[in-house]
Amino acid sequence: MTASLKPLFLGLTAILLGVGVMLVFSASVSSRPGDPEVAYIAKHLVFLALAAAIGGAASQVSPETWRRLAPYLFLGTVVLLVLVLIPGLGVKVNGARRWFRMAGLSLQPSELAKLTLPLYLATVLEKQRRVGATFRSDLARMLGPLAGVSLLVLVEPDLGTAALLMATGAVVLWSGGWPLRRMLAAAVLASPGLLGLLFLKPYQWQRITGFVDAWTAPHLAPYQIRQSLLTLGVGGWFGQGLGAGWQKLSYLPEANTDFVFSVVGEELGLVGTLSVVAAWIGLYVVGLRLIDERRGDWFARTVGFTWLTMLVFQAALNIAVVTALVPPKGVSHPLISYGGTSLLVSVTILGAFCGLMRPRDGSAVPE
Amino acid sequence: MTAPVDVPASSREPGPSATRLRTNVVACLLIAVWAVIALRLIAVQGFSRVLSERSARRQRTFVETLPARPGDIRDRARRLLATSIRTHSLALDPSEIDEPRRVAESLAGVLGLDADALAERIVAAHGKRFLWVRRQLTPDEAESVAALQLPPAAWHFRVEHRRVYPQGTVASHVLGRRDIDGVGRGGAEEAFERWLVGRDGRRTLVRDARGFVIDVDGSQTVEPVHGRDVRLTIDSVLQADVERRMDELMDDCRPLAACAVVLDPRTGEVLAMASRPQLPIAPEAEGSSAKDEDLGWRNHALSSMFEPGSTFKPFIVAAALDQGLIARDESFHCGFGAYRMGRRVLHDHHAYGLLSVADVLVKSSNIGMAKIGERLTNDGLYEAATAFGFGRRTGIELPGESPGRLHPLERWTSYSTGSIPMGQELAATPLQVAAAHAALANGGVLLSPHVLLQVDGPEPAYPAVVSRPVASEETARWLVQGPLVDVVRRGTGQKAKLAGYSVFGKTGTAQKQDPETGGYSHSRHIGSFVCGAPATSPRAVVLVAVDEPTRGSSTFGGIVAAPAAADILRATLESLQAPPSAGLP
Repeated sequence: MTASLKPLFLGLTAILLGVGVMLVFSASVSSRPGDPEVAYIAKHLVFLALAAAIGGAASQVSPETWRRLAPYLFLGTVVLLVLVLIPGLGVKVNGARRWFRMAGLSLQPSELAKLTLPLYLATVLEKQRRVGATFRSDLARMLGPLAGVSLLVLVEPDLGTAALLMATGAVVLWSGGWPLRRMLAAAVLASPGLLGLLFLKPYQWQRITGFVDAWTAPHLAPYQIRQSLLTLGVGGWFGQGLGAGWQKLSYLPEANTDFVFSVVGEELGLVGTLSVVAAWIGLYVVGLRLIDERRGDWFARTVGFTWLTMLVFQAALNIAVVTALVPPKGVSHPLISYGGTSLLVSVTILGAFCGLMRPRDGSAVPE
Repeated sequence: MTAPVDVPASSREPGPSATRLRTNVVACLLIAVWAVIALRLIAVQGFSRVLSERSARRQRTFVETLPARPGDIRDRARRLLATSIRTHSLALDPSEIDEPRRVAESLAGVLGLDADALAERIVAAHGKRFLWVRRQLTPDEAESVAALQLPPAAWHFRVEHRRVYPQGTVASHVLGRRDIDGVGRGGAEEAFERWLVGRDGRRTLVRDARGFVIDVDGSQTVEPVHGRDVRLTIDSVLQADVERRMDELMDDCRPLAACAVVLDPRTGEVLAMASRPQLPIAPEAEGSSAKDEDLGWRNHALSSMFEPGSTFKPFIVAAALDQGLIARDESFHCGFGAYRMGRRVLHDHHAYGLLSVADVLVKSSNIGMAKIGERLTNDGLYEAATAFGFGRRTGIELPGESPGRLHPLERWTSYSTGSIPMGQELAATPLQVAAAHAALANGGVLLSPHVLLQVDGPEPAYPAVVSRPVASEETARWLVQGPLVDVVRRGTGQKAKLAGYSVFGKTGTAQKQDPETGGYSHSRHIGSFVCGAPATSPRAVVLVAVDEPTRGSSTFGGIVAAPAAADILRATLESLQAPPSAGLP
């Protein structure tokens, strides 16, 4: 089975990456021919090559190595998340300090957390369960770091990624078999903090209520959402043709990053967007089958499931934003959006996932 | 590859089926989310498509006007009188301006405007899409504005044609003016609007969100139809001479207003037409009073009317001769200066006894004219006045023409029989008087005066000239070559003598109505003089009218108007290269 599933998995990944390359190239085109449009695709290809190398390397890392590296990787991530908050080291864009920038390339440490957080939490959960740790100990060793990382991302500020990291933690604990009572108890403990957040940052609440209003009065919707819906609508069933879209010419904001999916819709039509949806569902289903076949290794299954689910979930979340199903949130489309770290991390996650799913000598534990 | 050592822990994992249940729940939820997304995509891309396409198209296209260039106006020798140059006019889109202060400051610096006022205007226009900053910039200004590199969506140039008059104020009353919006106001600019003004075209441009034009939708382009060139009958060199002479006259006599008309009697073409005071747009008119400005806008030659006085007398004589009511060799006794008509006593300036028909005109005897009027009766007088074009517009193309005033016959009284023959009780424009004299000079055929020579283009247009016999050729020739030549030679018009030419002419001095008494004023006159040459084959008829001269020895037409008219006539003959009459000194 594995022999036929893995090429399919890689093939779907390649298709999504290919769509990404085409659309980043197309969406970066501006009305004034010049360097930037070439610069975007060039950087994207550099990142893609880098991602392929790192992903390939990651696929060779054994579960055991991941277990050993997990604390260090997590610690490294936390250090970077702290450093990025320091003015001068982190670069502020649109009021948020999320990026390191060097030599024309930028690095977003919160993206790294998507890779390292599940590794770390799974490692700890495994230990905790082995020793039969108390709820209090679980809180200190797992929920503490989870909350810490989320908070660091939150103060950048990056509410979307922080929420995604929280969800990531929840998926690890849930799929890792953390007892249901403890999950409920943790949820009760966390709820005052989450509610307090809404009161502390009223504009977030306004964004949500404003968004709900916009459902009934589309002209009140935020500019980028209106443009996004317009862009998708212009595409229609079969699209305007690759490269023939108009909306990306600075009508649609962030056409090559968070809203690249709208450009897919304009240029490739409903056929194109549903194909991308199918590719993601296919990737997920095939990934789940791979996990299924990897019966013995709890760690590999838990981490692999979390990585895959969160990656596919982020893709779904991105489309939900683009189609105005949920309030606007800065969420990139994995594998397709232009964006160095996101691409790097997504490909690395998929590479590492393949590595985790590879049966190893002596590792197969009969059920 | 080593097998994980601590795997035995898996024995304490929840059963595989439990884990599987948990992951399946998550997986199913996520697949369900994807299903919702797929449905949403079908909705967004399948149903609202037409609407989206239309609004997307609307937000990226922009219809630009391609302004038609107004045609040029040239004189009869194709000298340029009015032309248009392309200029850029600067407009802002206030809704696209985030920093009004900064934009205002940079524009104010380049255009020499008040930055505060401009910033205020931009803020006040918030939410609007269009605001003129300044129209019709000079090329330098336009270049400097472009160099500012303001956000492209925030401003644009609109091409507009600025009307320029290369000869300055020459013929300004004939030309009128074309305003900043390209609409003709007065004169030929207004009269020939339908030829001069073309039809604007338009072009659909495709822009990106930042306002850069990225494409032209050629299928939507409508090319502009440019205006056609118009040629006038005016001779601008002669016109300039006439205007110079009128300026001198204004200095010498200080009248309220004055005007001059030069006609070619053989064609009805207006060779020159000048009116004073000058149009108020002329720089020297600055600081003048509101009343002056009002007078300045009028083309007195065709919009002001006055009682023609003695200049009207030859038409009555012509009618009486043609109807056989008087004979050329007949004499009239002029009562030694006083003549009773019913309850009214008429007076002459000098006491005359027996005067021939010719001398009635030469001496301008009111009593002699009244006696001729009695022969014609009111019916005949009315017929004569209407025949020579009084009481209705001459038909010149220029706007603002007055029809003059000729009361309907029913309102005439026995007074009229004495008044009309001496040019009272009716009012005429200077152009009407000039045209009527031109009819005599043209062998009795009245031609409608006109300023249009030709509309250029593939299908040229020409003026419609109405021609109508109003006196017999014989009578007309006798009047012009006889009494009217004598007026200049030995009568009231001796100041109009020109060396080398046989000049004919007629003076006129009309009393203006006194606004207080309603009767004739003894101090306020309109002096006029109409003359032409050569008498045997007239090439030009000149009329000069002077409204309320205030300086000089006399207000008589023969004194105030004749010298100017003579100068203008000489200039006209020279410009026409009319041969001097043989045998004259």
